[in-house]
Amino acid sequence: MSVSFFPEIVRAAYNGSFIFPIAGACGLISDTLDFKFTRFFENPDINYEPDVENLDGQALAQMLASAVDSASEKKIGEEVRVRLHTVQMGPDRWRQYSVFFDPDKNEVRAEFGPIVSGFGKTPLPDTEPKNPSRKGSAKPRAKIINPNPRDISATILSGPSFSLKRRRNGVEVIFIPWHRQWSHSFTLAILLGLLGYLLGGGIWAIALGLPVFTHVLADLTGFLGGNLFPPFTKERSAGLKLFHADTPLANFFGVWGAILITLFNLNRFAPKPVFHINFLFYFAIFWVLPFAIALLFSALVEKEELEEETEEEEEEEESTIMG
Amino acid sequence: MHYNFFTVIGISLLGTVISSFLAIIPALHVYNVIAIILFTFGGLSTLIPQDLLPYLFLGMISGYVVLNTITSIFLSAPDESMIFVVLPGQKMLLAGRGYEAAIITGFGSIVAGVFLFLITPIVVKFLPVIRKLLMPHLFWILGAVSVYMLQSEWPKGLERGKTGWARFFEAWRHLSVGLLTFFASGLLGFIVMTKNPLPPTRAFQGMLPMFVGLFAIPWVLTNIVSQKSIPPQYNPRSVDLGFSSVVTAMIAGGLGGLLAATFPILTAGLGGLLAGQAVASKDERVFVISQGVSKTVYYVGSFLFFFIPGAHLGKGGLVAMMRPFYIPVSPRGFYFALGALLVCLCVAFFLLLFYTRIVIKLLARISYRTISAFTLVLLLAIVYLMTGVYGLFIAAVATAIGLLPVMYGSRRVNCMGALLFPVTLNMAGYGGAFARLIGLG
Repeated sequence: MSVSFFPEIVRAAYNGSFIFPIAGACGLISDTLDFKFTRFFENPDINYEPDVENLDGQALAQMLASAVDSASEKKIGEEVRVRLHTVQMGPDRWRQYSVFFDPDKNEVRAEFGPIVSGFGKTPLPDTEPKNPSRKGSAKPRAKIINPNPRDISATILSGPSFSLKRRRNGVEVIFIPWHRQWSHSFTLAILLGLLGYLLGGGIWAIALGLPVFTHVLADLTGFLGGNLFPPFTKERSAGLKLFHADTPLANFFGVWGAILITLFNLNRFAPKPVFHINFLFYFAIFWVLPFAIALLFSALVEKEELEEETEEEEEEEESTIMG
Repeated sequence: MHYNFFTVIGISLLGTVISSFLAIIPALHVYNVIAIILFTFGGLSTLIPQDLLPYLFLGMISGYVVLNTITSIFLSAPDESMIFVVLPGQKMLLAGRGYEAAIITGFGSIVAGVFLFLITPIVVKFLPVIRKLLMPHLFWILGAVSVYMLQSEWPKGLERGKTGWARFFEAWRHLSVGLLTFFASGLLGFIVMTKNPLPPTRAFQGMLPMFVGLFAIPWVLTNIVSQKSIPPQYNPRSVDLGFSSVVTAMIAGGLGGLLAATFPILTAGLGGLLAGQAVASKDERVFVISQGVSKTVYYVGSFLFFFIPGAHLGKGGLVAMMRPFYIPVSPRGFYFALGALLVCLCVAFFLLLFYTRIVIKLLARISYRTISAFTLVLLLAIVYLMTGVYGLFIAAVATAIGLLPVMYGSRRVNCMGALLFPVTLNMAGYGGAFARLIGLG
């Protein structure tokens, strides 16, 4: 999308160049580097393999609280890396479990949940473990710092990892620390831009560098942020926390907006434009209006679902009282 | 066009009923049957007036697109070990929920009918403009689709290897097979398109053996080798679907199908992949409905748009076959087609309910292996009858390539390299140079 703002690039494409797909590949290269290369070379200090015969959330919480304390005994900036491995129960059956580092209560909670199935992680009925120690909590001596307080869940395929990093005032929990480091940086965008310039001049500098730059910017709207200027910066900066990566509405309208802008630019720089329309009007009609409708619809559905849930809960309570 | 609406509906429904029998034969594509009707029986000109033929075919496609759900879910059941490379519909079959999967996919087709009805005014106004704008850029759009398809295949390993390199090689085993599949099928597609070995009388069926080999035979072979039986199927009295799930599926599947229905080479599967990414829903039932929406918008939409007079829309083999026989001249013909389409999709949906129950009963009595072996014989017979010995040869080569993703757990959609690779090269003007490079020039 971003490279379509440059008339030379649109004209090159018009004349048979594959500059757009190459720019697209560069736009995806940050995640390709992380998920197809970097992640495999992480060496955790603790590899947690649950005991299938004894799903002990209390023991897990205590182990993690000890890990927080071990991290607190390290030098500032050093870490303890933990990997939670998944529990495969069948070809598409996985025992879900999760941990939560609660900064308010300064405790670690862990819980073994139901068996789930598929990429949707659908829980199978009546598969919750029954043993009392399936969930537990433990308080570390050190202070927990958790900028993104969410459950860290091990469900399907490979499990998550996190870093417990010693800070001046406690131990920070950093989710998937191998992700969004140098691969998601303006440094990489500049390096690819330079490579493009050496290979093909100005438009190739833009085609290779700008998509990475845009990717990094887009990711900054989320929760994990990115390590923007390595080697000068060593850690990820915080994201704006506007959306989660799996928010359908944000994803869809992000992609839709990119398509609309690309179409507008392709037309604007075409030898003979096929439509003539003011950009603000175009964007208002095709993006702002549908987005407003979708937001309204989404709010209505959420409200309805909330009401249904409340009704169901009330009915359940009533039947318990009657019973 | 001097026929009334009820005649059009009657002819369309006849098409739906005919294709309801054809659709449950695995791998027999409705386009192949239509090609035989057009080129072998002279378009049934003694039985049906020529300007009603498109409505017969519209009915056939509508029936096919709803009822081929049965073969795609029940007759391509995977082994459990392949659970992460199969579609959610087949996973539901393995969980005893095949009926539910078939019904919600079929319901997706009805949703697609509504989607097509709703977007018609937009399509008539904007699609010709967008198409005109994008046609010169099509080669790189297809190139971008290929890049995205290859780059967005993520590792599916458990990452239990002791060293980083062990984990890396475990993950890259299926990723590299994905790349190999794309380029091998691309090379085969290029050869078939450049030097089609089929005799000229059968050249119109050129792609059939390749696609049967890439997609159908590998699954059937796998079923024969590994699948002993499918689990007992649960027959629910009702299926609960949330309104928001249906709308999400309509948007994801509708846009994917619309992309595929508008631009050459893109298919419903690819359109669905792109649109699915845009919506990023992880709900498998949304995915199943959206597949029904996507394939219906793709198949039916690409033919429906052909009825819009003067717009020169529509794509696919059927549109190409119909162009010498029918020229849309009035909006009335288009509105008739739209109405007929909605009726046919609804009728086909009820036929789906009925046929699915029969197939479930049948599968409980006959061994799955026997059905798979019968299907394999049928596939080979169809390929031989339509394309001869050369066709069988192409199918054999394609099968070897199509088995790669099945055996190594990579995405089967990589086999679409058979179209994406040669068409992208040819459109960009590099086809001749590549042909010379590999000794075909």
